[in-house]
Amino acid sequence: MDEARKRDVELLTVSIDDRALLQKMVDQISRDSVRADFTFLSDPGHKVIDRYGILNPRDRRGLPHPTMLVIDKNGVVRWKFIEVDYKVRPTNEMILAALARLAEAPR
Amino acid sequence: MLDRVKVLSSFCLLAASATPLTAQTIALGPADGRDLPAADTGRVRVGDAAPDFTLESMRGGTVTLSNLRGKKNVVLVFYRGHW
Repeated sequence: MDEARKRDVELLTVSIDDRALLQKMVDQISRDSVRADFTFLSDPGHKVIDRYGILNPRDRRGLPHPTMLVIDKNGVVRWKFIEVDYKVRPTNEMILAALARLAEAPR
Repeated sequence: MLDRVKVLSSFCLLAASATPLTAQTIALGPADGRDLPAADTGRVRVGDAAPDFTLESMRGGTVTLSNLRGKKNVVLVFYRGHW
């Protein structure tokens, strides 16, 4: 993705981890000398996870089904992938393609 | 012919009963998810307004999704947590 388009996209990640755990993970990532360009958000009571309907009912900790959404500047969902089967995962290419479609057809 | 009318009318009935359901889905319920089933993977669909939220950021402070309106596209990723 080119720099101009990168500036146009905010990458938000949500988990039930508290800030200490999130920090631990970010430290781990930066040890691998990869800069984490995301904003890590904490949803310890899985309220937002519930709101999006993606709680995994088989998990007692309140974990979500891994989910990705592309949301445009009007706040409308333009692409969505929910992983209920861990063997089926979205690729980076799928997400980039969804973002590219936003750039082509702004609403 | 009669059969066809029957099918058609049952289809209309189905469509009529489906309409309020759709409207309800678009409204998306209360902001904090109360009273909504937590496991309903079909609730938020492509074309829907993404439910708004405010969450604590690891960098300190909070992030509110609707604050990005008109400014940025968002890739929103829910993941299982620390690994």
